[in-house]
Amino acid sequence: MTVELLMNPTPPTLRADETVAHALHLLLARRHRVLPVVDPEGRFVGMFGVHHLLESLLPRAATVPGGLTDLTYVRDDLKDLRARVREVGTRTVGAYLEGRAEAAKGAGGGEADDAPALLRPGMPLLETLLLLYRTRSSLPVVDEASGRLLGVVFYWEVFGKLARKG
Amino acid sequence: MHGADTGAWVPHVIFGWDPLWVSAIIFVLTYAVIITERVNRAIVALLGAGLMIFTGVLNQQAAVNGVDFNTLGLLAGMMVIVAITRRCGVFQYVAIWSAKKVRASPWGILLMLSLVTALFSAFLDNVTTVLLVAPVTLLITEELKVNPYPYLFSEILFSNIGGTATLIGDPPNIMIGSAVHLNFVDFVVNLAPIVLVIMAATLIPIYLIYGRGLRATDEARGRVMNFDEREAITDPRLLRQSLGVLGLVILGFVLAHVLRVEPATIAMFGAALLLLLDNWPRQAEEQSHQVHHAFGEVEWVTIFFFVGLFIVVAGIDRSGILRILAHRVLELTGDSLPVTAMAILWVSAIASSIVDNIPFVATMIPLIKSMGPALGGPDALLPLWWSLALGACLGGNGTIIGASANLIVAGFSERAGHPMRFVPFLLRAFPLMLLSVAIASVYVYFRYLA
Repeated sequence: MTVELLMNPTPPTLRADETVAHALHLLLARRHRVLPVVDPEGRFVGMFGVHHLLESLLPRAATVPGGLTDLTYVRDDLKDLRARVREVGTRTVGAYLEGRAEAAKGAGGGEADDAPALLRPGMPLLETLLLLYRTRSSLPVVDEASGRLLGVVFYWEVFGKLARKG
Repeated sequence: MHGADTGAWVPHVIFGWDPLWVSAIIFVLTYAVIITERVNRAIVALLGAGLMIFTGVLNQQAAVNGVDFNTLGLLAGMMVIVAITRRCGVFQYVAIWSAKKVRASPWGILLMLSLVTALFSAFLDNVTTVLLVAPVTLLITEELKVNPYPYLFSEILFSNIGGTATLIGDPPNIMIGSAVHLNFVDFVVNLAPIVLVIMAATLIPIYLIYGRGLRATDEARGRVMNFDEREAITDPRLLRQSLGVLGLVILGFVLAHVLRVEPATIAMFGAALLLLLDNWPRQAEEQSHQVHHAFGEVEWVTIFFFVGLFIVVAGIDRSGILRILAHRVLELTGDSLPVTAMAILWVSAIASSIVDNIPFVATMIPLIKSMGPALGGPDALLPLWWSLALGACLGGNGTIIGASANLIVAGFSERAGHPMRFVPFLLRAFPLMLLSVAIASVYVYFRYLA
């Protein structure tokens, strides 16, 4: 038994040229924490989710590795935060992911520390469950040769699928 | 200090080879591999140290005698004290307080954060200082909506300049102080005045290059003024304990010669006292966790790097090669103290802007000591020690790889989306480094040599 058993082959996806505002709308509507981002050819670009939106509201000084550990002394008001949501909302999802990857690469850190774990077709079931357990997130299944997104194993669908197949 | 007392050991090098050549080859190989940065520097230094013993240049006792435990104890003790102190948030408090004191004006903040960096660096190690100041700087510049580069650039320079002022500010000073028995007060009296002049002189070009162009809206400045620095203090009890112990340790350094104790004893005792105060109310298991964490904050790579280097340098010192080199240098400078001092100052600065100043200073110390007889005894060497300290510390500002603190800030800046490239940094920082060394040259000449 392999990853395909748990995979949703037709997941909702985001396109890299869609705006962050659109992504937010989709995430809220579908109640997903993350969704896969693909380019026009269907190749996997990255995962985009609530975590990234939260990050975009925070000062870079607190989210960058080695940054501030608390912000108790900063008094930002709601107006500032709303302005930041609007500002981030106009950017494209692709540009957002690219900026983060560039920063991680430039700093010599290789992949970003929260770069998504990828599942490969044919991955054994227990290994898939272990990765879900460790990452606590929905994970994309990506074809190694073409880079195409084949589906997503959604965190919340695992038990339903296991029960159904049993 | 290394080289000064390696016991009665006479080298018995394998195959009867000349100890002079064997030690020289091990030394050059060790330093060459350190410079390539291909292998971690602590590994290389320890391998070099092992080779000095295996080839018979030193035996184990002579190697251990070459290690300066005063330097190691002072470094490790201060690292533990700082690791505990930083938890209370006092450093963020000072940074924010200083930014608000200048009403959040962009140039005023650059000025204040630079001065705060220099002040912290004089009492903490430079890497710790920039690790504390750089994130707050990024936060403030984000709120001001100004480019953080000028701020981080200036903080790099001031961390190295500030570290020059005291015995504990920068590892070269710790090594020199320990080797020549120069105390905290000696460093402050001899180096702090010129460090203040260099700071003032460095701020002028920084203002002309960056300061004039810095602008922020009233709204952005208002956001910084709304910071509540008192909230940065996360543990008031720890704050009182840390500042109390830090104050006592600095007082101990000032009175070290009266108390007849070495700086390592003071720093280690202070560390133990602060560990006691911090852990007294805790349960045994939690104490173990906290003490483990505090010792984990000691930069063991640096400590073992020092151990290896001291032994490698003890090897070349023992073989007599440093005496020959010292003799050659004096031939070149015509046995003239002023010429030798200037040569040491400038060579140290240029070398330290390219390679790590720690191995450089470790080698220079026994070399300068060997010049004693020719130049009129150990007391006559004082100008040379100040030249070495000024050159090695200030030289770190020449390039982005000149000091560990520079690389730490560059890495942080890059992760935050503001890369610091080698050449643009060089073009601005190297002339400023030359300016500081030129000022130091005038000072050394007129104060000690004229």
